[in-house]
Amino acid sequence: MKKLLIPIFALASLTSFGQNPAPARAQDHPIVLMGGTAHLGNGQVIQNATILFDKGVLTNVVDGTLVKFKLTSDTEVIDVTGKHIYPGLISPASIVGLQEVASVRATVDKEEVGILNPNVRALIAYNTDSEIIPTIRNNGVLLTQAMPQGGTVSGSSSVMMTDGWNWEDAALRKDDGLWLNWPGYYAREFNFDDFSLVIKRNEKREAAISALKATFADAKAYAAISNPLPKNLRLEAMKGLFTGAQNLYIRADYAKDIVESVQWAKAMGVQKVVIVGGEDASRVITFLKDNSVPVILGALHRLPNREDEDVDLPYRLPGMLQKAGVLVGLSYADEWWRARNLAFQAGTAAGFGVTDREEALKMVTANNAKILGIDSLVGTLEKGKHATLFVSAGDALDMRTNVVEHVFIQGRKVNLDDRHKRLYQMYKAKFNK
Amino acid sequence: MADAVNSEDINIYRQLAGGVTTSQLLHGSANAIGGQSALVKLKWGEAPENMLIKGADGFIKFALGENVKQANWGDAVRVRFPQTRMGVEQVYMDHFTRAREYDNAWVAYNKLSAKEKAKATAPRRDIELETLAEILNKKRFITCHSYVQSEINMLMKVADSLGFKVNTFTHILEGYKLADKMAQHGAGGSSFADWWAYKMEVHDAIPYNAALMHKQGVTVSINSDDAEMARRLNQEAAKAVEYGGISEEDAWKMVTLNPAKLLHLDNRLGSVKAGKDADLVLWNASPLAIYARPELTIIDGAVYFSLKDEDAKREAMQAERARLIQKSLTAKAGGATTTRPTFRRSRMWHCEDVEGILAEGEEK
Repeated sequence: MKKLLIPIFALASLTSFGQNPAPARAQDHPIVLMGGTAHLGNGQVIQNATILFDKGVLTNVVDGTLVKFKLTSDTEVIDVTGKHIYPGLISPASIVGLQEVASVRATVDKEEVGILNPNVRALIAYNTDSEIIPTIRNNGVLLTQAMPQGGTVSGSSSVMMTDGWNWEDAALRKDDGLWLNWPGYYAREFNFDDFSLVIKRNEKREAAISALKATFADAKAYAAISNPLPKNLRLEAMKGLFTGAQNLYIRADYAKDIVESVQWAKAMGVQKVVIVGGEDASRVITFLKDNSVPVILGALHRLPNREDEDVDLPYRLPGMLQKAGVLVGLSYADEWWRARNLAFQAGTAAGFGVTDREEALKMVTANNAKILGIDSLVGTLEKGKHATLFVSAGDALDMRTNVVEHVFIQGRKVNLDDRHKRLYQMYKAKFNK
Repeated sequence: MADAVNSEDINIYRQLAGGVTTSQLLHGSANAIGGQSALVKLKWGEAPENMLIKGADGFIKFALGENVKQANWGDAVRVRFPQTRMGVEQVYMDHFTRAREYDNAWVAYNKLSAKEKAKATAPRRDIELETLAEILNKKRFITCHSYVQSEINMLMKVADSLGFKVNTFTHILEGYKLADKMAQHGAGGSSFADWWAYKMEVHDAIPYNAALMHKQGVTVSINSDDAEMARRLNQEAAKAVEYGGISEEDAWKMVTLNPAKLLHLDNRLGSVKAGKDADLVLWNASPLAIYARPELTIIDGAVYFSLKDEDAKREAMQAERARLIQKSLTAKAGGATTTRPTFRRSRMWHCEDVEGILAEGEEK
């Protein structure tokens, strides 16, 4: 039987070559996962879990040894004994869907020209047909925050599912926040004489901040007008900042910039501030905690910034923040295809000081959901939340065992095919002749 | 490269902290025929010449593809030959043909008796052709930056026609498409674990590459091309387990014994065996685990990284930093003149870097 199945699979994958699999169909019958180890994303683990979901929503997440219940006759039972179940990983601050091939300009839609573009919306460019998307999904990344870059105010991001026919049905939360590249104290300048990077005082900082100040003050005044005429699209896009309906994501890495940008935003009346990048966050831990500012760290797989910095500081940073009580999320900083390694960022954090693996897992699930304002829907395996989850052959935070065997997004059973698997099968078949 | 080794680069220490003991240093990939590479042990802080591995074979960097044909450098650079993969083949044929003639001329001259030599004119010495002749005479070995199957195939055919072998294809992201031909030719494959999508020639790059090449009998290693990825080669090797189901033992060989073979140093490096060099790393867990970290890195029997000693070193460095700052402040308070500090970060080079002309999209 097995021998018969393999060529059929190979044939099926060949006929669909060059195309992403079709988006999954809506869940039309209950599904139960039995016997796996469930990592809930809130720090808890259930061995021998029973996870039931219907119409896209988790209806029961229980310990199968303690709780038994009757299944309806139309329930599909999937035995996942020995496997591990996780909530879909959430990849914030991402350009997945906005950039396909970095060197081919026509495929790059990640930044608009101009300094102040609050009205620019990343979800418009989110290409659901991107061949990158299935490859990150197949390592457990089921949600991604499409984020605009460029200028000082880059535009607004949206939280997208990694499955959907178009950006409208892929969107989980539209326009969740605005992105601000904080004009920092230092500017980087490339020296063409000796090819070194000189980091020096940013002479344009004050001018940039005063322009920002004017824009934010205008936006606040504008938000107070009930029926503004004429309409100002830029200021219109910023309204949510003052009610807390939208986050302000501030990209800042230096300690002083982190502190000043947060203080500045609060003074301007912004309700929810998130620091993104935060490479020097360990120097301002008390400030971040006292002001309840969450941090989305960039890639931990980077080098230290200074020659005399601890060699492992980037790896230890999440643990330092977590232990001090700062809400930490992990991202793969500005990257697109590398987002498929997001789980391994959490693995690294666990190996270098985060309390335990479940706490590290939170940094790519529950914590990111909380920061992005989607925690009522996703981020943990809990009754009432979306059945957006995956099953891995083993520990998903470890490269050796992150082998994803089932993916469900809002209960929809996702096809696990992708460009890489198709080419793999094609050449495996060639050599097995 | 051997002339430009900086043994005090902090990135060497960072490699040691990631369990790396030996590196092959290669040029960039702007030219079909690059320069001679250096094989070093990462003896941080020693004199540069002490880092070079004595008695190692000589290697040379070659490159194929978009960098060589200047595909991504903008409209200003459309005149240098080659601009296509067609042209790249001819660059090789041209240079090797001249190198063969050059070598023949010297062989003929050297055969002459002293008397005949006195009457003849010696061929003009050319150190470029001399180096290429070493390849033809199997005294120098090629490490070639490569992505797309057509040109990998081409270089192997060029080599076959001239009677030598291509030692190693690096990056080699489409190696899986002609793994059988590579095995037959005898070329090794040193692959990125999972890189793709950054340019057109990596559009068909797949993370299953290492596994497919390995199963066809190619000697496979996993490479980085920068200081960041190089310091966690253990994790990159672990991806061969995830993608393609390579055994942990075989995946581990891809960053130990296999690269040693490809560098012709497996008689000294790459495995723990009586008689081999004492280049050892003590890990706190299986090195393929994401949670693993080195506790001791030893080269030629001497400890170059010790996790146990890190805290004391960090404290000493902080104390020294504080002392210097205090000294500056005291001098300032005493009326000494001051200048604003500038922070200079040395450029991180990697194989894709191209200088002299701005690459497309690079800001001045």
